Amino acid sequence: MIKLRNIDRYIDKRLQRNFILKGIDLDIEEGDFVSIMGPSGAGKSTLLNIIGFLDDANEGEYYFLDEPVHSLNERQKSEYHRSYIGFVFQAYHLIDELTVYENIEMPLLYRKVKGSQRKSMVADMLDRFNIVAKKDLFPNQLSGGQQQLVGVARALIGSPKLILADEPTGNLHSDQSKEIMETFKKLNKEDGVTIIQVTHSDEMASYGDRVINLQDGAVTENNPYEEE
Amino acid sequence: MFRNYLKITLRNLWKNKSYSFINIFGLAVGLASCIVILLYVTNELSYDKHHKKADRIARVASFIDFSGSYLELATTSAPMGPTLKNDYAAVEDMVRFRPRGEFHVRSGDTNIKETDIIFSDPTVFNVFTIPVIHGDAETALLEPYTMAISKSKALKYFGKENVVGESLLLDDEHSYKITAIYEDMPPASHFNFEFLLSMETNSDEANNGVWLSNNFRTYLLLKEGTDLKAFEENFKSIKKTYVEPQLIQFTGNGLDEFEEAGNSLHYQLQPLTDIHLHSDLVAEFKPNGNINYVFLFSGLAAFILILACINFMNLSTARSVKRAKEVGIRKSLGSLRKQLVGQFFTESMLLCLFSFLIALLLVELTLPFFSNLSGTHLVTNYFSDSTLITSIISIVLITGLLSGSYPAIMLSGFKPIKVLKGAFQHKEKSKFRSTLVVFQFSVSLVVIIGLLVINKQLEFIQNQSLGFQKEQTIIVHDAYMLSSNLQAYKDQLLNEQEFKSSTVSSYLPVSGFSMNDQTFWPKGEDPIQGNNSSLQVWRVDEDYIPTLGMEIIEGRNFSKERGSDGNTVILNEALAQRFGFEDPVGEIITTFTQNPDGSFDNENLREFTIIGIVKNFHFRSLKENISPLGLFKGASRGNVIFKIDAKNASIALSKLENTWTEMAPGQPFSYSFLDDRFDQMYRSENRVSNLVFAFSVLIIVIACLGLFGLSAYSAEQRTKEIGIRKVLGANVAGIVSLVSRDFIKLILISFFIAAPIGYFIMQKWLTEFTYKTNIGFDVFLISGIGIIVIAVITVSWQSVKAALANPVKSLKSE
Repeated sequence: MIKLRNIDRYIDKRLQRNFILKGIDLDIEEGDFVSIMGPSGAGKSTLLNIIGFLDDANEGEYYFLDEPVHSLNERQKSEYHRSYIGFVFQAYHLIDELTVYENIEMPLLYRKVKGSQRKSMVADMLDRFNIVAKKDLFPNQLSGGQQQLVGVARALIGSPKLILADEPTGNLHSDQSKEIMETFKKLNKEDGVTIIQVTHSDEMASYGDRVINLQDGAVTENNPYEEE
Repeated sequence: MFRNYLKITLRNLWKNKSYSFINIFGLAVGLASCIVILLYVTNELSYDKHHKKADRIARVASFIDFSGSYLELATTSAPMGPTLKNDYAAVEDMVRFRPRGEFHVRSGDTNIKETDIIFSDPTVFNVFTIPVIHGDAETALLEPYTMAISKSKALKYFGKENVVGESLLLDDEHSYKITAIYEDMPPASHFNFEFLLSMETNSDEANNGVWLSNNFRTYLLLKEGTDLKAFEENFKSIKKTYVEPQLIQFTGNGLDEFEEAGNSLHYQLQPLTDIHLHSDLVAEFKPNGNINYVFLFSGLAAFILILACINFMNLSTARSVKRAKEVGIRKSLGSLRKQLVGQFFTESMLLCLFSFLIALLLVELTLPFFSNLSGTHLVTNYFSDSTLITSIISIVLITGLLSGSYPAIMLSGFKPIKVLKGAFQHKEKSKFRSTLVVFQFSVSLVVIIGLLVINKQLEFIQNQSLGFQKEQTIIVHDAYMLSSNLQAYKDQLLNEQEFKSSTVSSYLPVSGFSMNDQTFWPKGEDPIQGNNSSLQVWRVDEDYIPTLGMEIIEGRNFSKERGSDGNTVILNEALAQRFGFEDPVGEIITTFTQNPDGSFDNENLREFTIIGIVKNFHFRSLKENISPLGLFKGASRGNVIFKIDAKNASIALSKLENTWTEMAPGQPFSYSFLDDRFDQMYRSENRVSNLVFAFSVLIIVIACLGLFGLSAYSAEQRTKEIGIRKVLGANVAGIVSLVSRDFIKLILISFFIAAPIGYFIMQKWLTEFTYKTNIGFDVFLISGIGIIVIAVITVSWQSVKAALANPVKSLKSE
């Protein structure tokens, strides 16, 4: 599904070139549940952003579903965002002025889904995450875990093939974190959604079935079958 | 999707109430100003356009430079109209108007003074579009002593519309038969006559054939396709054919010699629709508008709107950090930049629409006030004029687009990865915002400087030594109505303690009273070749100079004895200087006599001995120089003027009226104060001053609102910094100056931009006045300090709030 070849990401500063990512080769298959780990500044988030088309690599090739991403234009990238990729952020990133219901509904608006169909899809999602009672509340009226549930619901409503989660549990306490990770695991197993998450926690990484370790912009360990 | 945008917009507005207020209120004020000005401009431009043949009608104006006095007259000679119609095929028809002042119109017991009354040729209904409701327009004004009156006057005097066949008595002397009733003339017309008297009644003068006297307003209806300029060139030949023979008869010299002596005469055609805004001649029917004011107010309104748009841009970009997250989320969900641009434009359009609705309300509320200030009668009839409604709609659309443009482009350009990272700092040095603030305050300052200079000039006029005293002087109008009781009226009142002195004269040193020009020259000299002067001939009595507080600087005043001083004159300094007498008292000046039909008799000359010189006094607007004037002893019974005791004005007035009712029963009593009449001469300046004042208040308020919003934002953004500084021991004053400093710097820059611009513009405005104040240092000092004080108050409101906040709170929330 995802094929990265010799990806470089760097920032030029005066005479010096600072590499954030250097020579990344990575293959991720459909149905994988991958955790990207590594110390702060290793380039985890940057890698995730490149995978999610939010950032561009300076060098190298990236194929998403065999489509060369490095030659897609903005319109085509938006198309992939709408139909294939869902994001979950550490800071939830819900729109403060919209209710739970409206936040979840928003991706459907960009996909131009009809009104009646939208209603039933959002209702399904609310049901699935047990937040029907909260649908008319605004984000700041919810706890962090509840906000992240809404974030996940929003990411899922477009039935994406890939979910990218940047420290999804970073701001949550352990019970809430578990709930989110269980949800991810269920999605991965039952619906076959590919999930890539960035995390610091071994516990959270253990929900996945593959860990990629990053150090100073390079993959140091790439063990698809490691359990511990 | 649109509903989604709508929700976001409304909730954002609700959440940030002060920003919303600044934006919506500012834009509403801007739009309201624009709409009011549009109504005003539409009204000004609509003058005289209701005449169906307006594009073919032109007025003949005369420009005469003769013996030192230059006159630009809205009038021309009596034979001009008929001759042009006769001799030139291009002239389809013509009409002449001849005002004869006010008349007292009597119907039964009611006797009312009417001002809008005029002698007119019968062709008036053909040339102009004046719908006749009753009677026959063709024949209405053919006979002598016939009149056509407006519908409202018919209702006023008779209580019904159709009064054809009735008659009205004018000045208790002549009865005029009403032959036609016409619709009231619309207010947007450079003349509004309520009574048209047949020119045939005044046939002696109308047919006198005198080309050298200019008393008739003459309008030509030109054939279709006539080129005005070409025709004007063409009819120049009438000077040679008609004017020259009379000139030779009168002065003994032809046109060439006349012009060689430095004189000139030419006629010009003014298109009817240009008269209101472009013509300011002697003897206009009423004070016209001024195209410069149309530009001035349009400019001010545009500035108000632009300033409000700038507030919108500044505040939305300042708040961009907050909106950036939304942009990032939307982009990660698959929104195109185009869609985001659309969203932000939708927002600004919506805001603009709200503002527009509020603006409509504001217009309704303020229009009477504005009408009053501008001296026009405006109504909110938006659909009367298709240009008006399209202009308003386009202004609203342009405002929405303009104010939305910068935020839309800037916000939609954010990279999602940067804004979603969490610690998003918009690194733009906000130069753009600073530039806009500087622009706003420069405009405000220029307007303030303008306002200060206008006020200074008006004050200067008020305090100018006029050469006469305008205070505590009551003018009782129409003294002639007292007929034989005039002297008794005067005497009886002078016995009362409230009245100090009194004089009878038609002539007063303010506008709105008689003026009378005549040419004089020192005895024995050639009247044409040089030492002559056209001068004001004022007939006054011996009490005139003391009552008005004028000063004799040489010789003596007229003596009290009846019948004496018959052929004497008191000159003003300007005239004495012009004639160049070394010792003027005792010298003799001469003039022509005038025949009853208005023509001059150059056989019989009249001589006057100079008995005194009066100190120059202003008798026209201070825009003009003091011109030659002579006071002659003689009866002119227009007004009785009383100098009264300052304390008892109301008692004096009631005594004046009571005695009047006794001595002139049934005649209307009317009066005015000399200083009021004086102020009226500067009404247009006062109006401009008031309007500029109103607009400048708006401009300053809007600029300050913007500054308030920006400083609030800046303080908010620096909450953390302020918190840290406080924890480290900074005091409140230090923090206030930290937050305010940047803004004050901008205001100072504005001052240095605005000062020279303001100086240049106002210097230009002052050139209109002959007697003018100078733009001193004080103007800049006041405006500069004023704006800085306002700005400091505005900015420190927020910075003090930020500085006083508990640092624990601000640091915890981060």
